[in-house]
Amino acid sequence: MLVFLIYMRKVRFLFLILLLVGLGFFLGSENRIVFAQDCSGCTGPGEYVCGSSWGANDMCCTGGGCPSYECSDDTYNSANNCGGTWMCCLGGAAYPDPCNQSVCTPEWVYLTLGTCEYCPASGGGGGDGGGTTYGQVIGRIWTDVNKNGSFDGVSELWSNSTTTCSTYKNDSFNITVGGVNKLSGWLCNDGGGGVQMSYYRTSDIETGSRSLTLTGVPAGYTCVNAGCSQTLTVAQGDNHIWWQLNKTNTPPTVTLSPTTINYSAGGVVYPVKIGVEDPDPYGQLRISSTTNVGSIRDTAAIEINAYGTSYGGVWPKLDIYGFRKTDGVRSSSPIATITVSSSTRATFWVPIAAYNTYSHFDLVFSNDAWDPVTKTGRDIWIDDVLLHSIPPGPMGTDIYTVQAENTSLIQYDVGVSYNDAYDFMTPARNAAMTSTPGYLLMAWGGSLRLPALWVSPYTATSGNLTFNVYDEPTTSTPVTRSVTIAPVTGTLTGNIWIATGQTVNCSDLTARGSHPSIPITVTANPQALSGAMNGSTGNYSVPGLFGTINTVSLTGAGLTPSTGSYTNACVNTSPYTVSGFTYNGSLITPSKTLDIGLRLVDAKKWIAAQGGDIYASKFTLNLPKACPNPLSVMCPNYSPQTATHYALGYNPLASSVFSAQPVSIGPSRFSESNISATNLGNQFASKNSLYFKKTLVALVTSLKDTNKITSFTTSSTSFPNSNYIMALDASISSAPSNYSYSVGGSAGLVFMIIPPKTGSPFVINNISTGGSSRLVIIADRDIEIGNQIPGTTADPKSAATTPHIKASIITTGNITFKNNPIGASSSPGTLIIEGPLISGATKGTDFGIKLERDLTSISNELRPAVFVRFNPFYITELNKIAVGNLLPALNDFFVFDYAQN
Amino acid sequence: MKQNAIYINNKGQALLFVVVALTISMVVGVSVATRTLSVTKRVSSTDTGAKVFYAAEAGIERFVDRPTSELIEIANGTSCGGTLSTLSDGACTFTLGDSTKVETKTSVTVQMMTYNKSNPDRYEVRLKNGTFSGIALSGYSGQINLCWRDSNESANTGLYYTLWSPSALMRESIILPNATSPNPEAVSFTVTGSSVIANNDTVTPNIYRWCTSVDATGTPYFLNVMPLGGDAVVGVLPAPGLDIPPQGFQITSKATLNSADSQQQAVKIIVTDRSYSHVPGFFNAAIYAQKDIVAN
Repeated sequence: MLVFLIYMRKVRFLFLILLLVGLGFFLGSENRIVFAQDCSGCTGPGEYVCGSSWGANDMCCTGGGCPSYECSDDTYNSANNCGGTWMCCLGGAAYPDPCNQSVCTPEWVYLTLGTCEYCPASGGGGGDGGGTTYGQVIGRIWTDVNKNGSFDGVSELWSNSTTTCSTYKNDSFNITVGGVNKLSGWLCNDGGGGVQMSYYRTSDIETGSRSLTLTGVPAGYTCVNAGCSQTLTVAQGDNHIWWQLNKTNTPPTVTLSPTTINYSAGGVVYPVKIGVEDPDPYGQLRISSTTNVGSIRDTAAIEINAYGTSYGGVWPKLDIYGFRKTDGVRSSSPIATITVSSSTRATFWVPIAAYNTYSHFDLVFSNDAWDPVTKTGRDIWIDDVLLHSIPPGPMGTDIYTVQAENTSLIQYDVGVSYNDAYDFMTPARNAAMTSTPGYLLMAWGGSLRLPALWVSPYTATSGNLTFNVYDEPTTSTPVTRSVTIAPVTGTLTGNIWIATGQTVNCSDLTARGSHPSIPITVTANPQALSGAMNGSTGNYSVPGLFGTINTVSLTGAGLTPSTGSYTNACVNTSPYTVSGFTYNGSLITPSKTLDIGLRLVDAKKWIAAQGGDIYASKFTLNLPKACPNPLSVMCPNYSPQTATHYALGYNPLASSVFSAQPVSIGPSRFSESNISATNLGNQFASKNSLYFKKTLVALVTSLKDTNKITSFTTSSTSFPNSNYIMALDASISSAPSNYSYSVGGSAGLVFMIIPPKTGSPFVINNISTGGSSRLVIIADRDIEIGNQIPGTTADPKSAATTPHIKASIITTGNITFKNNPIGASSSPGTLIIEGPLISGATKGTDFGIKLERDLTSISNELRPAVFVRFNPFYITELNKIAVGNLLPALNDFFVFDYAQN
Repeated sequence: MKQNAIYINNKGQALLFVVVALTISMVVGVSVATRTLSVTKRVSSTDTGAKVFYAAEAGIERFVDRPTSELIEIANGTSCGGTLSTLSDGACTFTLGDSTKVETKTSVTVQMMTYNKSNPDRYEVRLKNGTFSGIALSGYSGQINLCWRDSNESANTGLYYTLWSPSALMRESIILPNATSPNPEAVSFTVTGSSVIANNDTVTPNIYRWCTSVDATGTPYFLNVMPLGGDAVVGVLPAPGLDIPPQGFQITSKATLNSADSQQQAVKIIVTDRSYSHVPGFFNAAIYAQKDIVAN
């Protein structure tokens, strides 16, 4: 039956295939190599060796068991597997490697099926026939070079230097038994797929249990697994031992940068480059991290700004791996992937779901490609990497940016493994890496290793940030490096002094003569640490401060002088006029000095105007002295600033001052325009009094019933169009406190007529409008303004500060600016009203325009109680009405010149 | 003997005395009568002239305060507006008095006026201390000579002006008489800051005392002028080759006695210059107090 199968060529061919497959399986199993052996000592038809375990040729194939081979030819009587084909070769000691000596023929091989079993007790023998039997040991010596835990062929094999079918050479190997070297030679055979691989063979070794020792292991290598000594029961024929040598691991060099962090504020991010260089290729870095102060920053998203080149229609991609804080294991698979799918700079980002898991990241360029023919490939240029600590990612504001080309922060791990810290790309190695300014070129597959980020605590605590670096998956002893972390504390010092006069030269240290009385306590916040001022020197110090000082404040009775009040004049050597005794921490010098100069306040309530002239028969007011410095918005804008006061008029073009009487209000210069004519005499503008006494009175009388309303039913009025006149019934004594108006049609003026009512002033408060049209209030009555207007502390000169009263007032009577609220002794802010503001009061008891509004002490010095902002729209629109006779009812409002010849 | 002769004819001597006396009496009497008639005639003539004068005045009063737009229509001869007069031969006429007794006829004509003074052509206004006049400048672009003389020679008057575009102030300045040379004149009031020093008027020295040039290039709309420290006569002179726009109206009121009696004739003509209406000048002030500004 067997013979029949063998001689059927097709069946035999099939069988050979099955045989090869089976052989492959057999080779892949522990019994990797099977040689035909002499089992002549066995009884029965079978006489070929098989094994009970790998390397043990302690059984024979008998009967219909396992396949075994024999050669039917007496000359070619040695069955050998040559290149995957069984052949009968010349055997014996003269032919230790029969396959390589072309002394084989496939013709004499036949198959025998048998059963692998121990030789019968009566078996044995062989050898020299003298009772002592021998066997030989063959096998391979290999190193798991790529550290993947399995044998990968010729690239991992050793032999002597004359044997070609190995990668690693060593002529010092010996395999001893009982101290006698038995290694007889190195051979090559087919390790699969036709690849020749080296193996060794020993000379005869007496059968039985023998201890074999591999010696002559090259320096830097050690035997692993079974070690350099193995015990084997040598059977007759070939026995098998594989020896695995692994290169002795050299710990990596770990360099942290920086090695110390001295932090002086909480919440500050410090990058730490974990520079690992491993002299051994392959392996898997593990970098665990821990800190006992502050924290290793979370990363909720990674954003890159980059561009790339596609190759073969595929864009480059960056696989993101993270190093786990706890055990340092780098994620086995990408936790996210960014495809750089733009040839121009673009933003890409991915979320990191496990945002608090990793200490730092590798961005792995995993699909590098290069065509040497077309010289094109797949590359990435990275501008920067943004690490977001706040979910969900790029829209977060807590971003730390790593410039990709900053090699003081990153490493570019390339070579056979992107995570072995063995082979790095650097600008010195290839200048192209950073030849694009501001970018890092990733033209080689590899990992861009980012720094770890440490966040300082808000308390002054010392500690360490420690990294344990392992260069092999199985290495248990790490290289440990730490960053020493220490807080920096400081002492705030300074001097509190009193300026003499209102003109303060803050940089003149010699002018710091006196100091306020004690007690004054200086407190730094948010640390809430304090120090007391020395009453004789004015010096103070606040020690033990850590972190950013947000504010420094002064407290204590010493801030209240016996007369008047203090205000700020200087901080350090610069003018400082912000009210209150709290100072922003940004004012502290780098040397942590905060000198504070105070001065007595010169508080006088005052009125000022902007953009128009100021007329009065007499000014009975005083401007506050000392515009302390240019930081105050109300300081006049002229240079040199010889005047030491504020001004009546603001605007370098139009702020002239005229008066019939001499003016003595403090400064010699009254306005920014520096145009004034005063002491003009009693006849100055006297003719105008007729206009108020006669013309305006008559005009109001003539208009008092025009579109008259008897009450304000709402707080707003919608005038149908410009040039509209609305008269109020004399019984109305006030406008709504928050009055607003609108005007239909094109922009222009509307008019409100307020008739007289003896003993009853008309009260005006907020008047607002959203459009550009304006309201002119023509009154034959005293006017009281602002008893419900809190005012503003904003810059009254700024167009962004809306006037409280958007109306022009012309009255035959007095105008009084009242305090807010009525009866109060002070009003909080400046009242802003549009001008012209005209009082035509002329009677003996009349006063004209009076300022009762009082901002008190400090505020009075900083800003006027009332600010009149001239709006040229009124005069230009009125002239258009006059010339065009657009509102006949208002003809008497206007004047003309008349001369009779 | 001659004495005796005289004595011989005594009766004729008395007659001669009577005749001479009568003659003297008659002469005196006639003279008195003639004088009485002359006075009577003169009184009658003055009364009529007054009526005519008042009629001419009435013409001015009736027209001078009319709105600008109405005066323009009258100047165009298309209407007499609300003057209660009748358009006739380009003039607006009305009568006053009793047609059965004495009646006057007033004929008023209105003309647009650019200059109210000539040689050189200029516009002139007489201004009170501290009171503005408005000069229309719409359409003008160029320099303007602003000249003035004090109304009272003992006062040394300055000038203040503001120049406005249709929407904003263009510039302002105080102009002071030259206080150094050739005739030092110092104002009595106090001036601070930089002012413009006027030049002696060399172009119209017999008309004005001081002049300065005002840059009115661009789009000026009106110029407000105010004398400081005294009353002044202010002239506005355009740059050579330029004309300032019309400044108002010249109103001529001619009144006659409306009588068929050729012996009863009287004519009175009054010519008045009236500027365009404008907003009172103090509207260029942010704050204006006819009395005081009190803050203490």
